[in-house]
Amino acid sequence: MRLAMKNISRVFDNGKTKHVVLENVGFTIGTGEFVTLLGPSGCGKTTLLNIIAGFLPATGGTITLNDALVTKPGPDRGFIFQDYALFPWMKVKDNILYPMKRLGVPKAEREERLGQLMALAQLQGKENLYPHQLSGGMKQRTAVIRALAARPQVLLMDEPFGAVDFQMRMIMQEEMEALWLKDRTTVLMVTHDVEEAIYLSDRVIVMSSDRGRILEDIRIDLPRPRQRKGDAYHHYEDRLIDLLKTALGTGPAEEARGDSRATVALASAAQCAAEYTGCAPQELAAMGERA
Amino acid sequence: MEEAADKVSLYNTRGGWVSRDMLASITDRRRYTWIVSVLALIGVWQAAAMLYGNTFIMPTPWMAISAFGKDAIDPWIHENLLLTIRRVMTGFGYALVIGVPIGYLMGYSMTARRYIDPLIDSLRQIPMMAWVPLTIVWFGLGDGPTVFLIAFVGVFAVILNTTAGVEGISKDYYNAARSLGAKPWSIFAHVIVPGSFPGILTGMRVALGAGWMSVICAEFVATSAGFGFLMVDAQTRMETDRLMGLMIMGALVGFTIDRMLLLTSRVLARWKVA
Ligand SMILES: Nc1ncnc2c1ncn2[C@@H]1O[C@H](COP(=O)(O)OP(=O)(O)O)[C@@H](O)[C@H]1O
Ligand SMILES: [Mg+2]
Repeated sequence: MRLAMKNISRVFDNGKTKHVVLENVGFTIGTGEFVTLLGPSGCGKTTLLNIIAGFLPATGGTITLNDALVTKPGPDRGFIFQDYALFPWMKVKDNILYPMKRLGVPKAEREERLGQLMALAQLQGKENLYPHQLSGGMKQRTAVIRALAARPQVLLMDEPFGAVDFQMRMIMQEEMEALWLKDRTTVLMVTHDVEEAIYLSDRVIVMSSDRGRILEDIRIDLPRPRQRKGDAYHHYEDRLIDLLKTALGTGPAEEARGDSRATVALASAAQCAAEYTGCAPQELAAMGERA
Repeated sequence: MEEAADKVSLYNTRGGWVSRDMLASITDRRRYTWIVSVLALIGVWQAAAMLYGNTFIMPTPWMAISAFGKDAIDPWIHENLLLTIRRVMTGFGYALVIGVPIGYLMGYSMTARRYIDPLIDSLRQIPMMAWVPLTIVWFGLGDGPTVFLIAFVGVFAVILNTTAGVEGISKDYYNAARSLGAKPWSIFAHVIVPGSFPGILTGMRVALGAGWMSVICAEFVATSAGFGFLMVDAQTRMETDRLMGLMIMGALVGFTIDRMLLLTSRVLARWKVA
């Protein structure tokens, strides 16, 4: 499996002004990697992921999956939406059977795979519930196994923990890691949360607000399952927080715009505050768990 | 961590029960106040009847209720009532068959919407009853004008609510379906149809309600049978107590139709967050 983004550009035309969100963004992902695209809010992560999924056309550049050009959505790229997008009118099992039916998987095989996936996500017994009867974590896992049911080459996840509170977020990250360790499908996840990026990823790609420019491509060399502690962990954390500040910082394009500088500075301060307040309770919680 | 997830679901489920209990208590209280209001109305009615002292203009509540009781077991009344209900159902059927596809089209395609919207808007400006003379010219007296009118008032409700239902489907569902291998047909059958279903059910309720209200009006003039005709008949025979009894019957039938449809929606759209 090789997913390659090459010179991806995307311009939004807002009538008078043209907003260059992405310009010549490129990177490559290999088999079995858990890759996170980390960047401040509004830097174009969702835009890029939607282009890769085929939901949105790029203004320039190409995406290839195993050397085949990507032009529209397809079951080779599974997508996990921020609020899961489980079909509320289908029971859990019908949600999961849906991609298999579309892809013509024979009935016996479908049922068997359904059982496997439900076990993988520890959802046995929930087959006949409707999505609104599930907890947030269960919805999340259902969304993951529904995507896996199509046997995608790569899973694309857009801020998959964005919609829940802090405690739930940590629980769901742990569940996600456990699930992924059993399945090992290649993942490209998008987030603005440093801690989450380190906790889950083999590789973190840091994106800048300046036309989506890629600032760094960092390998996270930590044993799995991950622990939210230790020097190495915090070292990564410090480094990525610094990088995120740069990512928000004023690049050439920002200076040209001038008027938005104050906004950027403000956003930067807010982002830092969020990051720091985010860190302390996380450590406390991690320690608490251990004790 | 499984435990934590289960706790949340338990909490959610219990949350559901709690709110359902609250709902039940609210309905209970409403039922109670409803009785008080009706008794007050009957009291005022009785007072007015006594004040007037003329049962042709103002029969007493008791007279109307006993007339209603007699009519409720009269086969001739049943026959006419059934005829009217059959007209309503036929017109309603046309409203659905015509309205739902147009609603799908308008909800899905902005272009289609731009063409159809002005058409619907201008047709809606014509007062419903203004169609009656023309429909008598077209269809003659009898079923034709009444069914046409019911279909006509219903079709707008169905179109509007179907369109809203389709528009209300999150773009994520389309994208999810496409990235799960869906072809256009599956997107229609498994996303658009179920996703817009609650909207269509709302449209059906409004259409049936409007149909029931307008059919009686149409039957005053355009037919010599049916529930509306019975009322005109009671009026010409100067049986005001029966007329009022029939009005009560009309209200009860309309109420029953609405409740039946509400119940159907609850069963069919069970997946909607309770
Ligand atoms: N459909 C659109 N039309 C115009 N501008 C858009 C559109 N979608 C996104 N943008 C802009 O592109 C930038 C990046 O958005 P997005 O990709 O959602 O950022 P992120 O996911 O990193 O928070 C934002 O400034 C946003 O306002
Ligand atoms: Mg986003």
